[in-house]
Formats: sequence, structure tokens, C-alpha cells
Amino acid sequence: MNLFEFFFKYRPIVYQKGHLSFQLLGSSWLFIPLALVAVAVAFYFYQRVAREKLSPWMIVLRSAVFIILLFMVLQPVLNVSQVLPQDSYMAVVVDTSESMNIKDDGQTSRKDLMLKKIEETKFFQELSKKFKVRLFEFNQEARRIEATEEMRFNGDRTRMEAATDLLQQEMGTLPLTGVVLFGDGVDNASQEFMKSLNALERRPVPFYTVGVGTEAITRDAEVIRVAAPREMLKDSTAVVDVQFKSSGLVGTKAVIDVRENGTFTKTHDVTLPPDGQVGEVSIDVPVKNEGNQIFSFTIRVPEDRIAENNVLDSLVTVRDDHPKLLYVEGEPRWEYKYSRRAIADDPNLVMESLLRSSQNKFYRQGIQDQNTLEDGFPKKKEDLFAYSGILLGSIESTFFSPEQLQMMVDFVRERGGGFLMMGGKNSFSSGKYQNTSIADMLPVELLPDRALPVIDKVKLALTDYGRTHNLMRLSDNPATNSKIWGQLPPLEDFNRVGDAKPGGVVLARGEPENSGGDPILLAFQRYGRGRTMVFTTGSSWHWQMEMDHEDQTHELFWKQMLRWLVSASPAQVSITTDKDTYLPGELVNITADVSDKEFKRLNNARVTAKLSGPNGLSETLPMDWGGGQDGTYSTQVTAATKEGTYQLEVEAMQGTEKVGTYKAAFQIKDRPVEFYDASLDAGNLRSIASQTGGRYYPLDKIADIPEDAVYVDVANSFVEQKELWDIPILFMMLCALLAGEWVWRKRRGLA
Amino acid sequence: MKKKSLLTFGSVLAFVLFVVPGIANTGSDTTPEFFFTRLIYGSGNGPARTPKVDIRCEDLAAGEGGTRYGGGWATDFPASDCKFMWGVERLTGIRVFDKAPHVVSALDPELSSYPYLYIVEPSRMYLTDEEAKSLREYLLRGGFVHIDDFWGLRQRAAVEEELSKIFPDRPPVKLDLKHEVFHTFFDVNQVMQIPNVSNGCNGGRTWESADETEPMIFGISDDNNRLMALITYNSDLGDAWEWMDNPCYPEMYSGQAYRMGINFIVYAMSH
Repeated sequence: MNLFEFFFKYRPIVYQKGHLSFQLLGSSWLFIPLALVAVAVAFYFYQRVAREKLSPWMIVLRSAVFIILLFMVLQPVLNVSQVLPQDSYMAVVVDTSESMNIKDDGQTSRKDLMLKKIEETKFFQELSKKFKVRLFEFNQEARRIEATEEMRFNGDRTRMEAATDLLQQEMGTLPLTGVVLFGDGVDNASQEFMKSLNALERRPVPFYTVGVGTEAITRDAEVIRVAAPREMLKDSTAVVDVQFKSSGLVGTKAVIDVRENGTFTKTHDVTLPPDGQVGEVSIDVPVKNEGNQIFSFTIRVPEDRIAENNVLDSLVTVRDDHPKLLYVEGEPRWEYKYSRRAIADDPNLVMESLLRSSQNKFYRQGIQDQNTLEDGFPKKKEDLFAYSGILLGSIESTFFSPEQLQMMVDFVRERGGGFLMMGGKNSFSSGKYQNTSIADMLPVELLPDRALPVIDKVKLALTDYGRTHNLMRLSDNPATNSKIWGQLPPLEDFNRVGDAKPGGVVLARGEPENSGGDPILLAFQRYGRGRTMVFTTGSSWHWQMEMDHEDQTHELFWKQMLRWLVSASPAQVSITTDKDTYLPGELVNITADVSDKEFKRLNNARVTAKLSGPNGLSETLPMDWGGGQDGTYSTQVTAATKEGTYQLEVEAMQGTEKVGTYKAAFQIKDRPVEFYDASLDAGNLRSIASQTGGRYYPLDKIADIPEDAVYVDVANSFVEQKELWDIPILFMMLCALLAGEWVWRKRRGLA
Repeated sequence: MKKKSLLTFGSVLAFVLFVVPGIANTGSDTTPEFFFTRLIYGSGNGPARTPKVDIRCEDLAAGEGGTRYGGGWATDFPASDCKFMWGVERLTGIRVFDKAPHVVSALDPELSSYPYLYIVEPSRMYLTDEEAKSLREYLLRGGFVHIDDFWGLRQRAAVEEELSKIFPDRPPVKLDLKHEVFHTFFDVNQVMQIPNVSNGCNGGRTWESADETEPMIFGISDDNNRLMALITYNSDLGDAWEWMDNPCYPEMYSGQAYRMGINFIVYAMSH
């Protein structure tokens, strides 16, 4: 007997499930007027007491005594539904996935703790006194077993819906009083658990959930997420965000090892965060080899309890593409020369430029053939949209026709190209762009009146956002990165612009020597499908001329900026999957985007994806435009059980004309998911119990379940009346109240 | 036809340079982009220092040439510089500083702010190790130098010796006319010998030293095959710029000198 039962005679669940009534009253509500009468009587008895000796508390205490006596006299009872012994079934389902082998304390596994407690409390024997017990185990699948000895605890997934499906199947027609669910609350494989549970719950079946394990495993570090770009240009640096968490290791130094296709490449030191918090680090990973590369990130910390959750992979498709940039410059100037030189040795960026060397004379550089740009800036969308990025130097807006200006806007918005406006005498409002459609897509407001560039020494200062953005990363060490930026020579000029637009992100501002303010130097925003960017100076060439010739800062800055500018620029036809790595059996969602040469989305193309993989797998998947987003085709496939890299090649046809092809890849790899995020998820178990009208029990309270589980309102329940007039707490209260009144009366000279 | 075009070009150029020099300016209220910067060098008395030059181009007398500062680095100075810049400003879209001649020495901290250098009469130049190192670094960062006006084998040897101090491992290489530097603004289709003013006006020989008379253009390139130094040997472009307004100096030389000079500048600002 616990304390509650000592005072209240019955178990808490009786009060939780029962309904109060009085045997001498037709309705419980009648107790209220009777109680008021009791108060009135108490008041009447004290009416004759002299006013100076009377205290309202004496009336209150006596009223309470009368009310309790009234309550007892009226014969109160709790009406509680319960089942007859051995008249109904109780299902016991046990999670036998691998995670039950985890030793949360480093000593005893979850399964051993559970089995020991079951044995200590004679759980099944006690339960069998009340119910017909059926035992099940579940992990990836569920099955009926006869005894706990049959449990293997080797399932590599936990799929709760397997248990609920089986219960529905095997016990759907039996009088099922409840389900006792033992487990750690982790469900890592169910597709539609709620649907399965609701099917079972068409008749009320309370779940008595038992949490096994602890909510914080001591001494465990885990990689929980790796976010890497899906595609990269060859010879780039992928900035990969790795998230990790730990238990009982706050402040401990750990190491993240990076491997490319299994070959160790580098390490990165991290400090583990407090329990319950997620640590995150960005790691620069050079991608040099073309093709599908698998990068693994493994966290290492001494005495880690669970080694199985220390590694996650990411598949990056490295392309040897050559996106083309069109640079239009209105005058020969040093910024033109040095920005071109900065990317000259980048094999994956092609820059074609049109330099206006005098009023009507143009000098073309980097052109792929003699006809390119022969007539100046492209006049047809088809020609302009062949580029992935556009750079405008010091060239006034009136150089372009209104159609060409609009074409540049469409280039970003529809084609998904990148657009950069550089500072200069004829840039921004100095080039009278403020009243053009170009102004609408820039990440900053333009000044309303013409404003020539400010000639002043200005230091570039990274904003908080700039300090963390890939584009501004000159070193993967944040302190070194800040130092490099801080040591750059000052710029010599800048174009003043207005504020950043709501979607604009400012990466760098200026600290002018004399002209004041903190002008925006570098900002970007997404616009439609593409990106726009402003670099408001025309003097970054000083970074090249005023630093040692072997210093690569200027080159790196321009390469990163221009690669980033075109990195999101899509091809006419592209294909992607919703993740880069799948577990066997997972659903792979595949989408393809199809556009014509002017990047108008095509809904009437014939699109097929060819899936090829290990062991000579080759499958053709038709892709359909579902009537949703224009030009987007989709299909699904179930990830095979064979691990490896799977290649997708999409082909889009319109009539007999090929629109384009594109390749992508994903990886199928099994991993011990049971050991990821493996702490006891008591919240999930509480939620299941609450939704089904049951209760959650810690493992050391399972002895209560056989007693509690009988109080349930099901088809074969009967109602029992539990008398309340003699519960000890009422007598104790009476004694206390009478004693209190006597003491009060004594103090007032009435006793 | 070709001759006629050249004559027309020369006439226009002469008009621009001498009839309307007063309106020739950058056409902009911003800082000029391009400074035609003459390198000050010493002749064996230690490193050169940048002198204070208090000359305004608009103060040049009509038809003035000569040498206010003597020979060596200051040959043809300042008329050559001013007149050439007026031509560049008028004929190209380059925002040129044409208010005054501009000079710098190899050890001047401001050197790297001016990525285009002009060296005249280099056979009189003597670079200290420090100066040679500074110029090497300047050129490897992306600077450009035009070396002009030296004649014959003796002077050529002297110049090559000085250049070897800058780049011991990069000897000058003779350029052919397919090189991009001859096609950046004008198409220059011949290596014409540009004579000094005396020879040009006299109409006789155009060379100055009989031991080697052929005009040649050499270049020194960086690892990416971009010219860092351009050398006009057995030619005197400086005199042709300077004496453009001298009626006796043939237009075909001055016109060619302007075409070549402009090409060099556009090349330097684009490669």
C-alpha cells in the first residue's frame, strides 16, 4: 500500500476513472444546496455568541465539519468500470530492436533491465491473474511469441505500425482490454503509424506504455545531420554543415574525420555542446575529382558508448561543367583586367566579355567562336540564356535597349541565372539604373538621383552574416578568415546605394576613411529562380596589386563569388532526388525540371529517367507532369536493398526533338539507424498513452499496470461502486477541523 | 586605299591634338582611371627618387617638344606624355589623366597604384638590386611596362642586362604580328620603324645604329603567357608622340606610334 492508498483507500486510477455519486441522493448536484444548508446551520449556532468573541474562522471550520459529515452521511460512492478477471485479453508488445541492447549507463543493457524488472515484479504472473495475456515482439516486423525467452533483440529497425497492424489482425475480434507496450519510444521505420493506430482504436484500447532506457545516454556523441551541396563544380570547395550532439560530454574536445570514398582527407576539431543542444560546424571540403563522390563525416571522442551513431555520409556530384559568364564593360579599366585575370586559371568558369573600348568600338575576349557577341550584347533570349551569369561593369543603362534590360531580368527570374552589378562610374544610379527594371531585381535600393562613385579609401568589413557565408570564406578557420579580410588593403572607391531590400543579404559593408557611413559593398538576394548580387566598388584590383604576387586572396574571392553566382543556375533539363542517401526500402522521390531554350517551362514533354545501379540494374522510369508546378515532372521508386550508388539520367523529348538530358545520382546505404537518436523517447510513449486513454509508466512502476489496467470501460466491463464514506482522509480532516475550532474557541474564551 | 585611310586618320588626329587640345579632358568628374606613368631611373648613382614635377600639360607651348629635364628617364618629357594622353583620351573610352605628366620611381610605395609604366632610353638605366626586385614584384602582380627608344647592339645588350636583373629567367622574346597586343584596338599589321624627330624630318634613314637596323618588338610574358613587358627596339615612339604637331615629321610614323601605343594600353588594361 502506498501513501495515496493509505489516505484515500483506493488506487489513484480509481479516482481517475471513477464517477462520484451518492446513494441517498438522486443526483450529485443536490449535494450543493445541502452543503449551503450546512453552512447556514453553522452560522445559526454562532448567532448567539457575542460579536467581540466571534471570528469568521470559527464559522468556516464548523461549516467544513458539517459539510464533511453531510458528505459521509449521504453514502458517497465511486462508480468505476472494470473488467472481470480472466474475462478479456491484454496484449503485451515488446520492442526487440537492436537499440534495446544499448547500455545507457555503460553497465546494463535496456533489455536486461527490462527482463529483470519483469521477473522481479512477476509481471506476467500478476497480469495473468486479471487477463488472458498475449505476448508479441516487434522491430521491423511483429510476431506473436509465447515467452520472453523467444525474444532476439536484433531488429535493425523499429516499426511500431508493425505491432499495431498485427494486433488489429490477430486481436481485432477478441475482447482486447489494453496493450502494454515496452520500448524506448523510438520509431524509425513507420510510414503511417497514426493510421494504423487509429484503425486499432476504432474500439477503445488503452495503451499502457513502459519507457525502457534513459532520456540522456551518458557519454555518447552522435552525428545527426550532414548538409552538403548536391552538385559542385570540379575544383571547388564544398562547405559542408555537420550537426552533432552529445550526452554527458559537454565541453569535451572531439574530432570530426572527413573521408572521400573511404580515403581519409582531413580532420576538424570541435567542442561538444551541453546535453540537449545541437552543435554545428562548417567544414571546407575540396572537391577535385569528377563524378559521384561520397564524403563521410565521423565524430571521434574518447570512451564513446555508442560507436554506431558516429558517422553520416553525403553524396556530392562533382561536375566538370563550364558555366559561361557574360561580362559587359563600358570602358577599359583596371577592375576589368584584374577580375578577368582572377578567374583566368579556373578551368570550370568560362568568361566571355564585351569591352567597349571607345564610343562605338568593342573588344571581345574569351569568346568561344568568332561570331559570339559580334553584334554586341545579345538581342535574343536564346542567345543570352545560353549564359549562366551576367556581370555588368561600368556601363550605363542607356547602352541597353528596354528589351535587353527586360531580358536580363527574365534571365534571372525565369532562366535562373546569376547577375552581378559592379561599382563604377556608370553603375547603379550613376549609370541611371534607378528607373529601370534592373533596379527591381537588385538586392539593394538605388538612390533616386544620379550619384557618382565616392572616391575615398574604404576598408571592407564583413557583416555577421558575411562572416559565416561560404562566399566570404578565405580560410576554414573563422579567426584566420577574419584576419585575412582585416588585412586587405583598402578599396579606393564605392557607389553609394540605398538600404538592402527585405530579401537582400548584406555580406560586407565599408568603413570609409573620410566620407562617413557604412556603405553596402557586397549584397545578394534570390530573385525568381536566380540570384542577383551587387559589389559596389570598382577597385578590388588594389587587392591584387598591393599584395604579394603569390597571395591568392583576390583570385579566390572572385572565383568563389562567380562560382557561387552561377552555382544555382539550372540547365534546361535537370533531375534530382529529395535526398542524397537512402536506406534500403525507403521511398525515393524523383523530380525533373524541363524548359525550352528560352527557359519557358514545358508541360508537354515526354520525360523518362533511366535508373542504373550496382549489379547491372537498369530500369526506365516514365515521369509525369502532375498538373502542379509548370515544367516539373515526378516519379517515385523504392530504394533497392542492394547498397551502392545509383545513377539517374533523364531525357526530355518534345515531339521528335530532344530538349535535353541530365544526370544525377543518389546512394543507397544501410546504417544502424537503431543507434541514431537512440535515447528513450518518453514523449512519444506518453503521447501514445494519452491518445488511447492509457498511461505512461517508467520501468520501475510496471507493477502498477496489472492493478490499473482492470479499470477500463470496454464492452465487457461492469461497474463497481466503491464506498467513500469511510476513507481515512475524511476522518482525519474531521478531527483536525474540530480540534482547530476548539482551539479557536478557547482563545476567545468560549470553551 | 590604305594610304588614304592613314592620311585621313592622321589628319583627324592632328586636328584633335592641336586644334582642340583645350577641350580634351577626361570628360568625367571622377578620378581618372589611367595614368601614363613614366619610370624615373638612375644611372648608377643608387636608386632613383620620385622628383616633384610641377608641370601642367595645358601650359605646354604650341608645338613644344624638347627636354625640360634633360635625357635619360626624362627624354621627350613632358610633351610626349601630354600629347600622347590627349590622343588616347580622344580616341578611346579610357578615362585618362591628361592634366599633367606623371612619374614614379621603382621604390616609390605608390608604384603599385599605377599598373602601366613607360621607360624611355633604357640603355641609360641602371637598376639597383632593390629596384629590380620591386619591378619584378610589380610585374608579377599584374603591372605592365612599355620600354622604348634604344638602338643598336650595344644599347640592346645594355638593356638586356638591366632586364635580366628583373627577370633572370625570362629573356625577351620577339613578338610576331599575330600577337593579341597588335589587335586590341587597332589592327597593326606591320612592325614599322618609328624614327626620331631628326631622322623623321630629314626623310633619310630611320635607324640610329648601323650594327642592327631592323625594328623589332619583344615581349616578356608571365606564366600564363600574358605580356608583362613590351619592348620597342630600334624605334622611338616617344618622339613620334612628342613631335606629332611638327609639320616635318611624317604622319605615317606618328599615326603608327599612336596606334601602337593605344594598343599597348588597351592590352595592359584587359590582359
